Amino acid sequence: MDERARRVGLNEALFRTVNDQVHGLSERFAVLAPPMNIVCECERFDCYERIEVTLEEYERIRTDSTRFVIRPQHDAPDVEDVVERHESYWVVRKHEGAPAELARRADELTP
Amino acid sequence: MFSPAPCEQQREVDAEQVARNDAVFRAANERIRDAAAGLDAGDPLPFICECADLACRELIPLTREEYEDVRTHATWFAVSPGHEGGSDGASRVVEHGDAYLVVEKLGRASDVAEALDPRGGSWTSEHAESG
Repeated sequence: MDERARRVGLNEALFRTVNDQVHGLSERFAVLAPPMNIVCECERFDCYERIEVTLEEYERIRTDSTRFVIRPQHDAPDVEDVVERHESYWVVRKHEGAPAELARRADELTP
Repeated sequence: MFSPAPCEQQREVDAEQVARNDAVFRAANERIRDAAAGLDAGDPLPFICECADLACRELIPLTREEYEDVRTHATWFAVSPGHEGGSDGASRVVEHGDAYLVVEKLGRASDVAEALDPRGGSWTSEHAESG
């Protein structure tokens, strides 16, 4: 895998970790904060754009380690395919091979 | 309409609850820091605002060094600018960063923050001032 693909994968994994923590907080304080306001999991390190999803929607997407939630048009076609298009967000899935493997490994590494 | 001010005991209870909630946000940020280390992520890192608003999920970009500076003190929390209020008299701003503020818990809130510090820190500027 080239350095760019690796960097994209690790960056997206970091933002997914952030969203997992947001998810945990939203579950804990659910009465006060429905729905979840997660951060875009795109390749850009400086993208802090927000996406509103329900807890259930996030959990559904999150069951697959190779899927990530991004703002529309924030996909990186060389390492991922868009598999869902919603008005305020898209879901991408990592290409099988190195990108998907990295996403799975990152999932195991992160708390 | 007249609304009575909360009594001192009620304020202490509120401050304690806020400090307990803040500790949950701090723990979430500790997990983000740990994950970033495992993922070889660069600076700045996206941390979750540690303010008193339970519905707040704002992100604040902090370098590792800035984050570690906050975490060195068990009673310090990083918040977005404008989020420093919350628990009446239970905290004060001690640092102004580019995109964040650092607040220090005071009184009972300080005790709770220290007790729940995952790093087991015990230093506060109150201690320094009294020492």
